[in-house]
Amino acid sequence: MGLVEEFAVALRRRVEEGLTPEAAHETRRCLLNVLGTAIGASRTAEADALVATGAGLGGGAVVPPGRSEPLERHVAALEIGFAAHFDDYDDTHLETVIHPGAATLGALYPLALIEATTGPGELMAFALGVESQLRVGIAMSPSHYDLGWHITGTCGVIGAAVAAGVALGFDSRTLASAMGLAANFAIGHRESFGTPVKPYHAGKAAMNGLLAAELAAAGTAVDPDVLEGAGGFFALYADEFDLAPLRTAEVEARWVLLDNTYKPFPCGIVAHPAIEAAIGLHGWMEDPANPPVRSVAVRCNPLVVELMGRPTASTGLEARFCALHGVAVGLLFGKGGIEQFSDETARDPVVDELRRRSTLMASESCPREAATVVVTFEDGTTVENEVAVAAGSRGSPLSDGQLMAKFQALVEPVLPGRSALIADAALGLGEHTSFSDIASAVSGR
Amino acid sequence: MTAARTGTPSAELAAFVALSTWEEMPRTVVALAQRAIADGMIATALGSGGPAASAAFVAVARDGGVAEASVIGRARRLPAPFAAQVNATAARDGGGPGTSSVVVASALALAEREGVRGSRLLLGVALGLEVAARVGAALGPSHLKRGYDLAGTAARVGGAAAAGSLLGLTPEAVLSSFGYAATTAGGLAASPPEIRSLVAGLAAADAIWAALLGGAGLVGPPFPLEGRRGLLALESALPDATQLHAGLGSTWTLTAASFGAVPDPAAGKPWPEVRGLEAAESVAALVGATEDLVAR
Repeated sequence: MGLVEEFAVALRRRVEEGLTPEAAHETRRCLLNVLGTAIGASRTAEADALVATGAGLGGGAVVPPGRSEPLERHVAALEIGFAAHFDDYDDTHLETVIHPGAATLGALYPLALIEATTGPGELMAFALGVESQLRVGIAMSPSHYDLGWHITGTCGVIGAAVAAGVALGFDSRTLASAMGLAANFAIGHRESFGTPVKPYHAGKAAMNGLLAAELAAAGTAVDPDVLEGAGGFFALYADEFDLAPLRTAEVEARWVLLDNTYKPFPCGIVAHPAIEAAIGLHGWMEDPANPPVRSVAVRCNPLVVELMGRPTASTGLEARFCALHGVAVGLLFGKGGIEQFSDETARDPVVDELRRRSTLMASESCPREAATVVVTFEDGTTVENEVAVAAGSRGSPLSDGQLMAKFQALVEPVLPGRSALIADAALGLGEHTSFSDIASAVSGR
Repeated sequence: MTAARTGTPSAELAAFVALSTWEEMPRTVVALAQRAIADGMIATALGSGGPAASAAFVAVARDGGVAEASVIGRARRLPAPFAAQVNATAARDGGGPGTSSVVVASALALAEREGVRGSRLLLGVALGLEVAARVGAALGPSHLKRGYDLAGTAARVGGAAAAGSLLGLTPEAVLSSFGYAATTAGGLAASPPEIRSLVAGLAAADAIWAALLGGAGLVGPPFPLEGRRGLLALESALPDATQLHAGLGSTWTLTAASFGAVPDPAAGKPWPEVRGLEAAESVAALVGATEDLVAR
């Protein structure tokens, strides 16, 4: 038996055994969060452009959450994954930096509505869509991402295929074929970061994963060693990899989806400790007794410089990859929501001035979940704030209440008055609701 | 083509696609494009009844959609990306070379959608094939050695170039479309033939998506091909970015060999007889629609 089939058998066994209460709870939290980000970005100019192009093709079968236009199922998958990842506000698995929810939701949402699947099956499909792509990512981390691949796209295709395949009730052989096909449809270069091509990866992962599952259902078979073979997926996409996370023993040992986290701020996660530290100094900035700011120094992990080191930003998308922008808005506004990462705020001259006075100081001894912000005023006095374990990290996860507040803040501007009903439907998935209830709550019916 | 060059390989290649004119096409290049279209249609008809094209058709035709472009051999029309997907799958499965199967399928579907015929269609195919050949040359032998499939990589960019030319995109929009196309480059050369055909099919659809989205104003990165984490850096151990733009417009990388081996009627290796009346009629209809160029 090749690795892909061993992995498929292990995933199928998870289906038979069911979710643990902890895994079910975390799956619903992930669903709530990613549904919120999909709705939150559903009416951006970029989503408008994508939807206008897609709606023009006709075949309308599914209305994506937050939109009014019915789209063909693959196109709907593309839009949902795109919007869900657009603000970089979706769930993040810190070890791999995969955002597993977006592609999973994108593939599952249209399929569940069209096939009228049941809640418990949908919950399991969503859970295994996340679980499977995280395991593929763990197997080739950190080599794969370091080479320049956008792991959310490459692994997301496989997760989306698993979500669709489990929802369709595939046996292990068909599920293996779906994953093997998905490995041939993997996408995503990190060159695109800071442009709408990045969220396109999550959308395309959803679309390609759904396609892989459909082709597998039609009987397309793959080579048994499509993942581990000499010309297989891992050999092409990583210099170093370890197959153990896909083996039966490790799949059965634990649910890695429990390590998934949710961002308090809509930007690259490595900058979150610095933004939280900056927000803690907002009161000092507001104090009229203080002189103007001369400079801001941010002590941080080197990854902040590597991934979010751009010195300034002229668009909201660029701001999401500019740690100093996050620090500036944290200091100036005391928060870091969608509005603080908009095009307008990115071009705000006051924000720009503060960004220009700020510097990242990478330190190998600073952990990824920590940061210190030091503000020096014109009179030479300083204030500083250290965050040791940032909110949203594994050590300090967002509470259910914080997650709900984030969901409401994302959804209410787009769908006023509907966030509570949608959240009820998402958090009840598999107990008393299904995706059709979510869609009803979204559409206000 | 003239000016509007900004000096970087991706931008120069995009400007080449957007600004080249029919009058600048060398006769040999036009002949290769005609040959690729004719071969592509025959291969598509041959592969249209096979399991790969059937699986692709079932997957993408469920919701129907606007009848934009013909699915060869099925008497159906689908939205252009989906028609191109089924046709490119069939073309490769029917013995067509991977790269030109992708470029021709995306060009024909988009041309049908846009009502583009004649010299403009041939120009788009020629530019798409040239871009695919140049991207393939820039990726070099190490790309293939690692196990990538040119039909899923260079041809995606070539297909986007063809589609972008047919849509009349600006140099900036073509550059954006390269970003959407390059980032979807993939496919395992070690996969069985049926899956390699499906990879070609998806590549043709992705090429059209890239051109449509670039044309819709969605931007991409400035250096999608030669950037530090772009196509060449990720999918080749020894890339040569100069191949992307050296001598553009004066030197043509495109040769018959860029497509791979195809049956050659002139060498006494004719295509097998087209199977099935429906397939034959589809080919006849398509050849009729483009006969002014195929015969040119």
